[in-house]
Amino acid sequence: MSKTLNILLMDPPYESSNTATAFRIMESAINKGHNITVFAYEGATSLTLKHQKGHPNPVKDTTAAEEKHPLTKDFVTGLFGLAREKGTSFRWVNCGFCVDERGVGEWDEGPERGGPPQFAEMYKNADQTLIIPTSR
Amino acid sequence: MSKVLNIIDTAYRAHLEEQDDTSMWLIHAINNAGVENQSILLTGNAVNYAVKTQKPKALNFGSGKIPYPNKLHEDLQAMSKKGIKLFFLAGDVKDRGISQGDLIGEVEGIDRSSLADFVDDFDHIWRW
Amino acid sequence: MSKYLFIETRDPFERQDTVKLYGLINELSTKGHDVALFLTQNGVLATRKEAKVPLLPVILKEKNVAVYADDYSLEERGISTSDLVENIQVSGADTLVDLTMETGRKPVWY
Repeated sequence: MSKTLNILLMDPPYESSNTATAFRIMESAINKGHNITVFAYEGATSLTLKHQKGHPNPVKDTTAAEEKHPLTKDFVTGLFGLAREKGTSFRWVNCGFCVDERGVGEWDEGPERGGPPQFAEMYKNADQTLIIPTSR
Repeated sequence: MSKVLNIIDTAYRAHLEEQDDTSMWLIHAINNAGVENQSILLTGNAVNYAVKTQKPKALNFGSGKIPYPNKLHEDLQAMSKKGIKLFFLAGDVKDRGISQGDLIGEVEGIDRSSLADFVDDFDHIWRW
Repeated sequence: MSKYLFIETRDPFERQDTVKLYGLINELSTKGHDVALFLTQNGVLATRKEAKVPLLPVILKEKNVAVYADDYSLEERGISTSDLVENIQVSGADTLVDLTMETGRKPVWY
């Protein structure tokens, strides 16, 4: 039976294993037919930044094309696509104040700007809320 | 209405440049947005947030500033006024040599021996 | 009785309160609550037979406790199933999602 999982993320990209685990959860949930809402708080608002780009790796002696550095904005775009394919919904809300203080307000199509009222709404409409606190 | 327990167990993280503890800020903000019936349990080093003598100073980095570092005990008191109940884990206070008299009056101590029953009273447990 | 899901991402040797979490799990299960512990990321470092985590075998024996270890995290760290302490269930994100979405289960991320 399809349910809605609401997730709050806090970690910025490239800093914590929580990020990959969170995306694994989202991908699995979408594949199972669940709907996902994400409230990206604090550093997690950088996950969707449009200007992320890959780079070469001089330690491994790879070019940018060879390295294929993962970009978290592509994870988000990928999940929007997966949800469409599976006929479920995927909603990503970036906390607006967090976006402003980090200057990370440019993103590809999909994520939206919001704040605590949106989190409150997502919490009330979800079957389950999972808070993933920042790692330390 | 669902009861939410917010466990805060890490203190003094990013609070200077944010001029807020970001977890406490969000708990307060969603309370204002209608997520009522919330409580906070301070554990670990976060029990120090209830100490009433905290006095952070403004900081300058050349022309860059942190002008209004927040007094976390006052933030807790403001949340208490909005109906958010405040608790602390008594053993974590004692371990750190803090006495009850050092704490704001709005927080209530919970013994570790009662923790299982305490958390079970809540529908949602959010750890920050 | 309540149902819990504790998602433990931390190495038990990294922070003292990891051990305290195991203590809480023990207490909840003793009181008859249904507890699932899902070890992932560095949390799987507790799972080797020879790891010095005295409380893990204790909670593994509790009838109301199910302990899972994330397959991806185990493989990432070179921990094979034959290395694991007894009664740990190797699983993955699908199981974690099923547990999280189970009606009435309270997930808490550590």
